[in-house]
Amino acid sequence: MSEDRSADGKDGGEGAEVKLPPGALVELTEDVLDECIASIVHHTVLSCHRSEKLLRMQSAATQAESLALANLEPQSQKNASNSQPTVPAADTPAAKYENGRVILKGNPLKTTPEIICPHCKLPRLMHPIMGKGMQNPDLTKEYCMLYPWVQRPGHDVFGNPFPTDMAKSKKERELMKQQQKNQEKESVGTPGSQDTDMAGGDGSKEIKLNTGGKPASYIPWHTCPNCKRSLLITRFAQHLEKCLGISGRQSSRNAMAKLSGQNGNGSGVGNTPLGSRMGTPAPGSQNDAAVAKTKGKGISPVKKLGAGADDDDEGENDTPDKKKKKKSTYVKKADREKGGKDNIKVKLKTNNTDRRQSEGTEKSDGKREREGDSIDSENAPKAKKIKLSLGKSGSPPAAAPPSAAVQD
Amino acid sequence: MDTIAVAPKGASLASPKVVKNSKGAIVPSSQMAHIAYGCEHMGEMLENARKATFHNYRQILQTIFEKPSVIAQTHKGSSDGRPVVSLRPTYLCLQCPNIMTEADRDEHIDSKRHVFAVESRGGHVYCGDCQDFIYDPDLESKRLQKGKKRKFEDTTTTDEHKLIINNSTFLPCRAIGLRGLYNMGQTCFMSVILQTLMHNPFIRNYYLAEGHKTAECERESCVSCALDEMFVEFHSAEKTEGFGAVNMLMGSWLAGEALAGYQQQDAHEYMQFMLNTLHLQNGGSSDSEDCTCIVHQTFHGKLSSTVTCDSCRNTTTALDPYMDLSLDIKNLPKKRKLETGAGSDTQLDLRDCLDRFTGREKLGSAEYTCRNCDGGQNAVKQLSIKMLPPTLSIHLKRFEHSKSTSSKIETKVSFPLTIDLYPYTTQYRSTQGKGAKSSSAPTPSNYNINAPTNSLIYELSAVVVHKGKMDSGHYINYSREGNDWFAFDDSKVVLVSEAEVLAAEAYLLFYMIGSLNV
Repeated sequence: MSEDRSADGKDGGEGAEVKLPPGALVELTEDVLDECIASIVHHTVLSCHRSEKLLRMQSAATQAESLALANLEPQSQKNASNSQPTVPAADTPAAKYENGRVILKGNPLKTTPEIICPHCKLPRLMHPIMGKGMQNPDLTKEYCMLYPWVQRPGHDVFGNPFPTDMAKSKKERELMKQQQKNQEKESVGTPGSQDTDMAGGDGSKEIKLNTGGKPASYIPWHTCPNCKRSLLITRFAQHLEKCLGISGRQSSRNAMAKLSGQNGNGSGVGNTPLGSRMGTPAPGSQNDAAVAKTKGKGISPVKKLGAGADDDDEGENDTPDKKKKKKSTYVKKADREKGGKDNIKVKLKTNNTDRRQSEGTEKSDGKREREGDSIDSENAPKAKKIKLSLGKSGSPPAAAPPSAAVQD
Repeated sequence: MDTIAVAPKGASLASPKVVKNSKGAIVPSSQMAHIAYGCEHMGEMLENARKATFHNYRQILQTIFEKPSVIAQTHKGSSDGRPVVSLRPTYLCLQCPNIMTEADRDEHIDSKRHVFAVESRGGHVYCGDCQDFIYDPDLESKRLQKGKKRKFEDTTTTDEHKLIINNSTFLPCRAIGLRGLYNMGQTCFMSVILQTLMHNPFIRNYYLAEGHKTAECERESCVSCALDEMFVEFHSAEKTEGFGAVNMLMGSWLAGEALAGYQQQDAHEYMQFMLNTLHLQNGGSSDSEDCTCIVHQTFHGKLSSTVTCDSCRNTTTALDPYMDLSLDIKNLPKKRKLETGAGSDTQLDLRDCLDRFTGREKLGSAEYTCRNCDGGQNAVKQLSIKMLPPTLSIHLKRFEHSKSTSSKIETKVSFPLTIDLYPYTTQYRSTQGKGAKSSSAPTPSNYNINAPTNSLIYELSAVVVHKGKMDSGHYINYSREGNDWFAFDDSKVVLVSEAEVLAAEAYLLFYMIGSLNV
């Protein structure tokens, strides 16, 4: 603004006191831009500097504190009877710990190359364990579980592969179950083996990197809070609709649409193979995976039909008195599941169902016994407990009080 | 983990730390190693002249954040000593009133041994002995307050701290709330809204601070309990796979009949339902005017609607509460296109939509009846934001429903990472007199670049995207966690760039107040 005015003034010859040499405006503009850019750079660099330095400061302090407390332990055990508690103190190259206070020495950015988690007191990994920018860590050390975020196609931020079998048909699932069962027979008593198998992807020696998730083929089972049946999470909405009896008008309309679709343009169903409702499709076939993928996302007219087709894996055919039939087949299904329960048990343990179940204990005990996780529910910490419990007083209550943990 | 065995001793140590803490350091750090000073030199300084240093620093902060910026940005020219105004950061000496450039600062440090200087844009402290910026815990807390007095003194006592430390358990470092939600069969509309709530700091604080006590809640299939369950699970379990929000689904269906059933739903509708249900289940009063439930505290704002009669100039003003702003993205006036020239692919911007939302709208005589004139009159209606919530949710009307058909508008709407909402407020509108648009921005005399007046900066915090067609689509959610953006696509959680977020075809946008200190 002001530059404009001065330039105008020169041209009009009105503001005679200020004569600007030609090119002054260019120079001025350049200067202003330079300074603005310098300011932006200053701000950006400083904010990055701040976050990195704060991490290093805390790391230096954490290291010193850990050392002080480690030094303290043997002494106090010896002088346990001694009334005078020793004052913990420690001296590291980066910091000095004195009875609860840490005094930094030197510049933490120089003295402390490593970042130590202030909560679990373990070093943080500095590079992702896979994908973009990965580096193989020194696996002889133990690290804080908060790994740098993984950026790798087909994987989530923790490095778990995306689920692939989310919408497999019933037959396929049963086949998979059978396979797993066989595997299980071979290696008894290692229900958790799934996790570690996939986690230790890179020839680990002592410590295994743990992405914490499940293999891509994993689909969780959930217990319906209403009827206590166990079913695949991907079918849950469908089940619950029937279970709660909400399936009023809309469902009959769907059924009509399904019927008309079948009779009218059944062949135009698209990529859902018609055969899937009668025969057994080849498990894990490419085509099916593709269907599965689209199915995961909402519905299209085509997919509505597809979902219908899956229904029919359970109910044999689509007649208007479908509801009745459904009911009967459901019992069958439950019965069938009883047979293959061993397998599910394993899954349930790693699942969060147990927690939910323990809450709904009063409602149906018989069912839960069948699922064999009554033991589990006792062991499984109740959700609330984790937050508040008088747990092991030993562990450093690293996490900040929740309210504060939130601000970043 | 040798520290675990030692921690009981740590508990007995807790008291010195705690005393320290109640003096103003941030409470949660009590469980972490407590750093006394930013550096050795600052330690020496504070031990010798604690009060004076704090006093000087506060003065400087006030200069930086409250007084006209020209004061802190003017230094003496190095050659002739005449005042020079700089746009770059300058340095204010902590021990004397000098204001210097970066080069002069180093010289001043050497000659006067005034070691500390405060940078003029953010108030960061530079230590000449370290030759680096330092972040002293006490000074930082003052800086983040921008030199103002603390509103709330930390009232937790030593005993309370001990109680907390002795009764809390270790939470896995990884459990920071980044979990996907399994698609339970056309439930992505639900997942995106849940993720939005899960990553909203206000809602999260409320639930993690036992705002809703599930143990004491007697409602059956309570949605709030289900949300509480999710928060607990997300923030305490070591797991990283998706979560099956089974109880949430059942709770939602039982509470809202319209949304029940195995079918695709509108995410916006679900959000309105969720907010309303949570409001009712968290002790919200039926009077939404002054309801203090967490939902209202977070999302509730007020719109002012002014109608001016064309013939008698009588104005009537009404205040309407809102939980989100629904913006039209159709048929926007071509004004901006003309302004920006011949650009045929000029993009529709969120700010255009807001401009239009708060613009003047002509009402025909059939639509408005003036009480003064006692009859139908032409009138002008104008909306403006009377009150902004801490989290402003914006709904872009992408779905159009006419009598027979419904369709989706796929117009690209660009949106910024930060937005100044001041121009859409009632306050701003009232300064813009009728027809007085020529003398628009009233230039404030004491202009401060670090804390500009008349600006309400909001930052983008979450985006809900609808992909695909009207009746066969998929929702995904982008949420910001710290400085990182994550895409939540059902059970998949992926790190994404800001660019990807900004390129998304947004359906719901969530902006959070920007002045919260990090």
